[in-house]
Amino acid sequence: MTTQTSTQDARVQRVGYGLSVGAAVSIVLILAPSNDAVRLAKVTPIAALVLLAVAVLGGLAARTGKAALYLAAGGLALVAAVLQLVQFGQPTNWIGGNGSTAALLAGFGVGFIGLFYAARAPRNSE
Amino acid sequence: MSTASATQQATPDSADEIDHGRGARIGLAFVRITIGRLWIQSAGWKTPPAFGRDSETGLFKYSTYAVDYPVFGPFSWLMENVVLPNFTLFGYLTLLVEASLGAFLLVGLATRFWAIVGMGQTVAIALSVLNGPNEFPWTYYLLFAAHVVILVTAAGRTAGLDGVLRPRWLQSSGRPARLLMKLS
Repeated sequence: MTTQTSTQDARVQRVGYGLSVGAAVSIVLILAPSNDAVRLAKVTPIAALVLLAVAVLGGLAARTGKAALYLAAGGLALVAAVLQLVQFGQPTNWIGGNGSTAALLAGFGVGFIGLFYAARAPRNSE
Repeated sequence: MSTASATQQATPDSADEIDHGRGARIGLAFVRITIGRLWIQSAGWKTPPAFGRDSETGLFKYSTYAVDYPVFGPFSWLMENVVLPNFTLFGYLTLLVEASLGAFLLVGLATRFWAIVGMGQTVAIALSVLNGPNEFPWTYYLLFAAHVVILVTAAGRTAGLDGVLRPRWLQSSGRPARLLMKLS
């Protein structure tokens, strides 16, 4: 079912681009003052670097369709999210964020891992 | 078949366009992502390990509202006798649930499940703070309503991971895939 497959691939690519743009746009939050009303998530310089790397990897994955790049983007975001969740509120906090930083990174993490699964899963209909 | 009904079938009804059109899909994705961002921001001020207990601020302060300004007797009892004495565990659970709500609703994965979790969390928050000082009850009614919209429209299927992964889950005969079909 070539048409179905190409439709599905296009859908994966579209969501891949969407998540990449989302990660890139989230970097802007680094400029937000610590006023809760406007700062949707705490983005520190290190978190911004992680988001940039995730956005680039995710964008490349969407462009090339390579599942391994989705895995790299998702894995990086997920590792950073877990690290942030564990270190939040502790004396050592490498990323320097809080629970919102962890949640944001986790979102992109599960998103790109999901796309990895979608891009590599066997297609029974073919 | 009457002429009127035949004409109706031939031309798409304008109500259908409103129900299923591009604007509706964008709107649903917007609601889901906005609510996801709400939970992400909310996870930012649940600060471990004390969660405000040492300074009587933050999550601890709002949790004590359930006892000081009771909304529902049994819930106040539960908070006073179970939650507050074990506050560190409760704090970590709250942080984990709200961070997960934000993450999964943001990308639209297992959306209907997380919408139900969001409704439960909204009820728990409302039962804690609804009678508290400076609270606007409609905040929680509207938050609950937004989760109902996300649930009944399966909003993750629009511009979300559910929309991408459901065709894969449909092809799989495994139990996790069947479960995820229901949760998405």
